[in-house]
Amino acid sequence: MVITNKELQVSIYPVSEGSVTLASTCSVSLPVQKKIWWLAAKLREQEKYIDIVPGMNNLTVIFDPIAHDIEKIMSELLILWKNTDYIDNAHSLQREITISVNYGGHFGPDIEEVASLCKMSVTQLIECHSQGTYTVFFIGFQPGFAYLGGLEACIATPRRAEPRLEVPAGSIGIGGSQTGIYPKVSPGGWQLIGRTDAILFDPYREQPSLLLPGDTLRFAVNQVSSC
Amino acid sequence: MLEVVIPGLISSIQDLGRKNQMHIGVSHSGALDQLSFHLANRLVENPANTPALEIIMPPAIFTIHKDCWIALTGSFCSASLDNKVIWFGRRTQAKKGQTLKIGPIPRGLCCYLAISGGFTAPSLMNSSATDIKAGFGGHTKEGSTLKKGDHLAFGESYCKINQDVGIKLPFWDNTLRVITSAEYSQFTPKSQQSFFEQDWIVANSSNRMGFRLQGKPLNRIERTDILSQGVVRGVIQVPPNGQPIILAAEAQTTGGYPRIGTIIQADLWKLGQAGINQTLKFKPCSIDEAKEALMRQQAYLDRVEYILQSTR
Repeated sequence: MVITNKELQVSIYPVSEGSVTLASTCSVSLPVQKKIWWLAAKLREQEKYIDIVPGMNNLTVIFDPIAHDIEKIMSELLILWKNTDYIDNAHSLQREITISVNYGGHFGPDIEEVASLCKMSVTQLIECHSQGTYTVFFIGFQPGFAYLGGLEACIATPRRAEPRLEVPAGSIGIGGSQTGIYPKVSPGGWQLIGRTDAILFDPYREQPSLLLPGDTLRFAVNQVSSC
Repeated sequence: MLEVVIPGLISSIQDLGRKNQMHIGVSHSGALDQLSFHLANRLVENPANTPALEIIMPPAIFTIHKDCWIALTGSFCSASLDNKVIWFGRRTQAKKGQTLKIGPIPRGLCCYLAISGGFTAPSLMNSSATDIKAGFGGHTKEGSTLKKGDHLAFGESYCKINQDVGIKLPFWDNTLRVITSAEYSQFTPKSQQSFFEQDWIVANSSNRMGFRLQGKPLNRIERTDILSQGVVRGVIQVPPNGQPIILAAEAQTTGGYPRIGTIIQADLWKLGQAGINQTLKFKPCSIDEAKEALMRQQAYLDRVEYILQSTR
């Protein structure tokens, strides 16, 4: 029961009797992800979904399989996806969040290693990282953990050979071509270059997650420490 | 109030979980065996989503400090009130000062203890469910499991209960029906066959995030990466080592491992009762059959409601 539409470059398939994923067959890109956010927002206007979950280049919806017919839902998704060709390509949630970072020192124990691997000085690394414009593609892995697009290729760095057992909450790391912030203490294999005091996830807040899919994120230098 | 004397291995306040939060990375959490959770509550005339206690791997001992009615469901084990036997699937009157002893469970994983009026657990993000992994919710709001000495408040009965009543609990078996995934064809024919034919064993690394299985590894024809996408309870992921992981209540909201299939919703309760070293088997199932099975389960629940109504 897979719908594959070559013209619309999309594949829609059941995950269970009560969930469906719509996946773009194009490569990952910001324009495609914008369509995913638009679609998620459109579906929220209806009240039939238990959860609507953006992923990387895809969207998963969860519903009551007795109350709703899965084939009908899959057809509706296809029709809505067709409409994404006509949406304003600049459409996004338009929120801009700035996160203040303490780079280096015990906040970013791997910063010198990363700078060295990227063949630049620590100052240049901080400049490059903090001047970037990042986009929250989606949230997953942990509450409030944002998958960010926009890391400059020149500071992409392989993960650590051995992950740490404990990465402090708020740590900012680089793992391959990704950068991100650990919301909570957890094991982690990314290279840590700094830390923020911002609380990425607080279950008591009205909107518990600081970041939402579609947000634009910037890092601001609060302070730079040396080891 | 209920006082915890012996908590059981992993005991926590649960309900049906947090909905509409997966887009910010928050799992539903909630009861592993939602069917037994539901039955326990209804037996003591609690509304369907009332906080109850999920006791993973008793023995557990509690002292009851207020008159109430209690009900136990889930994996069968011996249970007593002041050393007098009490039955599963039955509501029993409990008096202030009595000691409730539960378990151990000879076959299975967990029991549900519902109490008339429900546990007064605070609601966080629209649910009282304990998310142990994420560290919030439950009776302490911090995702804690029960420990010795904990005091759990519970409310007043929702209605007057006049008599005890028992119901026929659902019958457990180790065959779980699976809807094959869109990635099923990526697995070798031998692996597809082996997935449905072999006896899988639940590994002791399993937890409320996922049931990890041990068996003959499953292989894919092509090892292409899968982009992270939303996943649901019952999805069967196959990481590079070929040993399946079945996602459970506290699974991550998105996953990047290929999937071979998903357990049908009507059989998720059976997964929730799969203990360590339990053998599991899978059987293919279509989406239509899955819906039919869910409707039959709903019909069973409707019959339970009918029985309860007739005792009022």
